[in-house]
Amino acid sequence: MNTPRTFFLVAVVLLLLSGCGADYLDVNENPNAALRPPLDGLLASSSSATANNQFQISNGHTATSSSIWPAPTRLIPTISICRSAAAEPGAICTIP
Amino acid sequence: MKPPYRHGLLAVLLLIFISTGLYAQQAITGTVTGDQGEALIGVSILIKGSGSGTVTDLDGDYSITAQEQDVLIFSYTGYGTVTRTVNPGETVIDVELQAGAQLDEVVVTALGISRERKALGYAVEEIDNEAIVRSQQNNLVNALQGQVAGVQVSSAGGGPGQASRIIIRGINSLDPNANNEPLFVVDGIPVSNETNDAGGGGSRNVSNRIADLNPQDIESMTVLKGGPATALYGLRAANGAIIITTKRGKAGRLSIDLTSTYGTEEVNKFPETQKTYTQGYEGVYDPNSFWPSWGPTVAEARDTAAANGLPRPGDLYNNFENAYVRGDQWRNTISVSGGNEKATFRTSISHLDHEGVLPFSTYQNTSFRINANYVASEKFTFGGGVNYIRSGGNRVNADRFNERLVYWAPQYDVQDYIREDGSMIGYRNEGTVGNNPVYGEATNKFIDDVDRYIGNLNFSYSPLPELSINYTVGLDQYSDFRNYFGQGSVFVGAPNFEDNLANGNGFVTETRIRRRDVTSNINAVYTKDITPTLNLRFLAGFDAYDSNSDQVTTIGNDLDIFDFFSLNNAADIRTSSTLVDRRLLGLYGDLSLSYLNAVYFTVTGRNDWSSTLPRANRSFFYPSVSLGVVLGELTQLPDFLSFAKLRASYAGIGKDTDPYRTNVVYRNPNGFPINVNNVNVTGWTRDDQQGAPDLKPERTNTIEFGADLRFFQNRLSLDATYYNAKSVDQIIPVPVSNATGFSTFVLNAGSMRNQGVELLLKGTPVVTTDFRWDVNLNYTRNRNEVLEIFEGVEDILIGSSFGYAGSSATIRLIEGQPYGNIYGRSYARFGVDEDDLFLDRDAPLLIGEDGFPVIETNQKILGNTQPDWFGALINTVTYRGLSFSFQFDTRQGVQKYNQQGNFFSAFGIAPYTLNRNETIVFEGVTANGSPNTTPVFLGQGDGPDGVDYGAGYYRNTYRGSTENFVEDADWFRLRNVSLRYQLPTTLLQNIFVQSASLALTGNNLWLSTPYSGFDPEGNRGNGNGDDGFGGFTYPSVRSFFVTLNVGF
Repeated sequence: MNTPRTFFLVAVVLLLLSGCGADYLDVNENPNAALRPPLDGLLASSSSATANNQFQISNGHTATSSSIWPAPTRLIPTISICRSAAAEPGAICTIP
Repeated sequence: MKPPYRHGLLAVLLLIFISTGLYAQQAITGTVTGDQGEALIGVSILIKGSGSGTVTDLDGDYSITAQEQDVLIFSYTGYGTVTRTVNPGETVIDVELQAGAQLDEVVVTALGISRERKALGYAVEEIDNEAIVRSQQNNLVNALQGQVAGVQVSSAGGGPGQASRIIIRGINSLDPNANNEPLFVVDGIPVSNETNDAGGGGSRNVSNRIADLNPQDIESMTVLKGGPATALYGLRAANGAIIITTKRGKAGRLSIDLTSTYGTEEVNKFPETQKTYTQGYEGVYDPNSFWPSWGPTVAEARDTAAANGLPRPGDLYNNFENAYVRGDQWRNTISVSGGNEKATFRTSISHLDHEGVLPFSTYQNTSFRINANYVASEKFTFGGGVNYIRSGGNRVNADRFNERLVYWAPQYDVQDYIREDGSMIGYRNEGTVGNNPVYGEATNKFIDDVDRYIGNLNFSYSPLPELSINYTVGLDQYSDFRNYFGQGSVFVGAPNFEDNLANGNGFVTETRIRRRDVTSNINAVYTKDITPTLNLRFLAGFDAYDSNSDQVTTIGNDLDIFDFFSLNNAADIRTSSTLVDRRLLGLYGDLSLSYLNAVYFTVTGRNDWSSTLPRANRSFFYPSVSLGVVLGELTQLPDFLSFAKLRASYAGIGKDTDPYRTNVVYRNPNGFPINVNNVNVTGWTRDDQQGAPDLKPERTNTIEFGADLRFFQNRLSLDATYYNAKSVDQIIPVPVSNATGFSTFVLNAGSMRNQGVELLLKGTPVVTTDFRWDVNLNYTRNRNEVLEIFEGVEDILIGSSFGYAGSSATIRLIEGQPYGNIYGRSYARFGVDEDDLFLDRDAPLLIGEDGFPVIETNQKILGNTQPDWFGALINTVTYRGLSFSFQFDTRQGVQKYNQQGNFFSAFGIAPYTLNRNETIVFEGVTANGSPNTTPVFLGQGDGPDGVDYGAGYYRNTYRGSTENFVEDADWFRLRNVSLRYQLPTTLLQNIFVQSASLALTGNNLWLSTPYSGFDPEGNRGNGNGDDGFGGFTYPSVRSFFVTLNVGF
């Protein structure tokens, strides 16, 4: 056993360990939410939201977007609404 | 020197298994003394290259078995190290060590590698067990308070087991949800320090997970502050690292150590309250009124009560003091350690039982630890440790408790909270209405129960004298069962606490958390003396980290049996779950060269692969370089300068992001599943946050310069550091218009800089044989600037805290400003630029036509949550067995929004509201610039001038200006005083007790602050921005401890 051989062995071990990395890291698909929801479910929630919006408007409130149902919780900080220097408050922000 | 590595593998294997060498073994004895001739106890004696050794006993004597030509290394803290070669036939070696030599101080660095302090090109600070346990803090994070420059510890309050937050060199991320705390590493294993809010834990002050560890088990903590120090650890240590080394057994006799601590505590500072006005509104007494203090004075109320057929109004209690009780705690630790030259072990069992000052708040911690090490041969050693912890208790809701105390009418004792039938006693309508906060804590509970295992195994193999291969594998796994419940009404219509009823009639919420972190790290270290003056050290390694957590929360509402807290007793049940997986791989290398023991140069590189980034960008590399130059080795230093070192370093650290930020996903909206004609329908809707499939890693580039200067034979030393860390490409959820179909996009969208100075001054003004006085002063100043936020985004909201009449305070980040600006409404000023971001407190008040100050509704910057500077002064005096120490801490140039102050004004509780029946003229100018001359009545209803003032000045005007409640929260405190007496060993001769000591400790004995609420050190919670919000927090405590330590 000599120095180069030792280093070679260490290098092989390290390469083996790093080689198995590709699939090992593929765990970033969110297991708590769906990537491809069934059409039925989308229809159900948008029907419900539409009705709710109609109800809100008829009672003098603005409609809530059908895709957003923020739960009010004090401890999770939220991000403020975009107010571009150029645009009026509430205007659409340009995102490239 | 040419090492004998030609013998080949077989010979190496033979050497491993044949542990006896070629030389004859001989028993050596001797005595180690100091330069004054005194016996030194516990001097470490190691046989060079073997890993085996012993320590001196109480008389300074030792015995060890060594071979001829072995080199013995004698080392002792505070003394110079001496090496002696064993001559043939020599059996007695007496050694004298010289005091005061500290030049070869060794510190633990990244990956647990011990290195000489003088070889480092960056700042490192270490605190030992004595400093850790001196303040008797149960939360290890709190033990760092004031001890280390650059480290800011903020406890959320004095609650048992309550979380504390630690930030090193400022906040690094613009993301409101980012974790800005350092990585904690215990015996080579990164461990979790998360504060998990699941199942309602956020409002309940649950522990940060490092609080699980028993401080008595800790040998030392090393703080790696910046990028250059942590570069080898990789992205998880991007906010710094705390390297914890636990105690190990020492070769020698079996020793048993017993430590028993009793502590008692009380709230250290209460807010001032008025004690004149009683229940009612507009100055009219009404025992059924919601309003606790807008009535008449107690005397006036008594005059009118009888005539109106009302009961006699009572004296006023100070319920803010009355509601809190005295807390106490017991902690007992037994440890056993010992071993021989081959194997050593240490094991400990500890139990803590803590009851806090807020009624019903409790915390228990039972911890068991065993560490063992075995020297199998000269070449192979292995060891490991296991720590089992069970912790948890009843976590109270301090926020709601303090809020309800504001509403409570002071003429009733809040501690009189429960009827014989178990229902609540309120403060209105003969006690049938009104929330009693003490009853609330008695019937609305949150109990957590953590089982945690931390284990590590390490192997070290040295096939050649120059080469060692080390492998460490570790596991940190815990389960946390949380039980959150409120009881239903004792009988139909019985007075009950509002929070118990909010979800039907009583509720039970069960949360199950399981988290598992596995770490594996292998590396090889090669050292070589290229020439006698040029030394090389090369390290290469690989580490893998796998974290997996699984959380299920089930909420059961509407209990059938009011006090049976089981999901089986709930009519309405909802469940949600969260799974998180995160994996990291890292390959790293470190090349260090030293020349003439004077110039130390290190270059490192690391490549990380993270599962949280898109596949194309998940691999990223970052380097660091550092240089240390010891001037004394290169040139003659002036006489007064005993040591001088300059250091410079650079590091570029890459950082990944949270899991699951690269996709667009669909979630179940609230209200689903729904039942339609006996068919359950699950709804789906797109998440309002758009993940980005092209995220790239964040980068933090740090430059650091420093100097280490020691004067007058090391009697005085100064360590100064300047750093500049710039984080770019920060991954943050950027707010967008809802018309995009999302509310946030996750983007690489900002940059921020922290730069600062750390100074550490140490001195020993007096030292004689028996007496020693040490002074330690540290100073930290950090400046933060938000350099860039994604174009078109005006600001990022970090947090907000409610205030009445539009006076809520917010913390927002904007370009060009530091982190932590507090925004809110203010009194309008005359003649100021409306667009000015900052409030000009010196400009004259603008007074309206009604004679009252006008409220400026555009939010302005009223203060900042990050201190201008902070520091501490620690004095330690020892005289023979007696040691006395005291520590002053300060934090300066910091503001905080006092929510309790806002409520105190709205409810007529603050002492300044005593002028409510006065008529005054506000100093200021009217809209046309002329001085205000309009007299106004400050009270409610009709004033003496016949005008109706409605709800009065304090409710109409004062409470609506956030400016009045963003207070200076600077403080200066006597953090800790400790007196310890170690019995002289002469007294303990001839009995089985080896050592005994008694210590008295006091924490938070004195506090000076302009802040009007509870101790301003307490924060709303443990999140980013929470340090800017106080008031309804768990109050800080003043505590006293007695500790007895006996060694057998």
